[in-house]
Amino acid sequence: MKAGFLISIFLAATVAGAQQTIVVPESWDRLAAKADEVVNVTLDKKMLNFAARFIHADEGDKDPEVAQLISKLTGIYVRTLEFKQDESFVDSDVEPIRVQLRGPEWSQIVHVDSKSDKEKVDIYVRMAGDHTTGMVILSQEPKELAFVDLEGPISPEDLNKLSGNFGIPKNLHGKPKAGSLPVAPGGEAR
Amino acid sequence: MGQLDMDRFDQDLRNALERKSPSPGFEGRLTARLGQQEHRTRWWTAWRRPPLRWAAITVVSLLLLVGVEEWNERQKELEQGQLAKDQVMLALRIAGSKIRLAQSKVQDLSQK
Repeated sequence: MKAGFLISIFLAATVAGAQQTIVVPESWDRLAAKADEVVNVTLDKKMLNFAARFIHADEGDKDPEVAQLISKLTGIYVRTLEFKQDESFVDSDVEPIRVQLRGPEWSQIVHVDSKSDKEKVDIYVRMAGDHTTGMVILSQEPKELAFVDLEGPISPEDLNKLSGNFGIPKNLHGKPKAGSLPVAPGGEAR
Repeated sequence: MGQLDMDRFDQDLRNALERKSPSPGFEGRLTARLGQQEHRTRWWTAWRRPPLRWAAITVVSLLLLVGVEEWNERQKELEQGQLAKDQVMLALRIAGSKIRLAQSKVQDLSQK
């Protein structure tokens, strides 16, 4: 095994596989073998309910909205791959995910493409009528690939409730300053 | 000690050792008392009988096993719950960090 740090956690993978709407391509498994650090979190509704009991017991008193938000989620799927060297992956490793997110039910709410830093961050929400039913965050950094799929009625407003928790900045969805709109590929404002 | 004293002592001894009839109802009282004692003795000695002793040991052992198993299950559930909770926290932390990255990039680009 490579020197370094490897975290690989699978929880209820058999059940969760059927519920995860966005499929991570198999190439990520090959990349994981090369990665220095791998995080794989798979939590289906059953496991989330189970975790929510503990979160409610430990955090519920401090922040009931956080516990309530987590109890609304129906699945959390996270994969991150961290490499020691730059360019350990290529765009085609991520493209199969992007293709799935081009479906009509998905709306891209944030797209950041920083050519100088070689960083791309995209945030998508899945809509059903006026309601959101999921959110995906896809991030490409020189040494890191990250995919976060939050299934359930999570909305940007809900993220505000998480502000100040779990490393999420406060006033995330506060009134944007002029010129701070998400930018389209190439660095132009949308 | 004279002959007269010896006769009196002898008479006293005879009186003391004279056969006396029991008071009325003595036999009934004695039987009842013996019955009680026998019952008490049986209750205590019952535990000394091997079958009952083994049955008691088995029941206590089973109860202990069930208790230990229950405790183990509870511990396992707590560990799994804690692990699941840690996974949720880790996932949300990663989500948060990526959102923060997007936010900082947007701010950087807007300042340029």
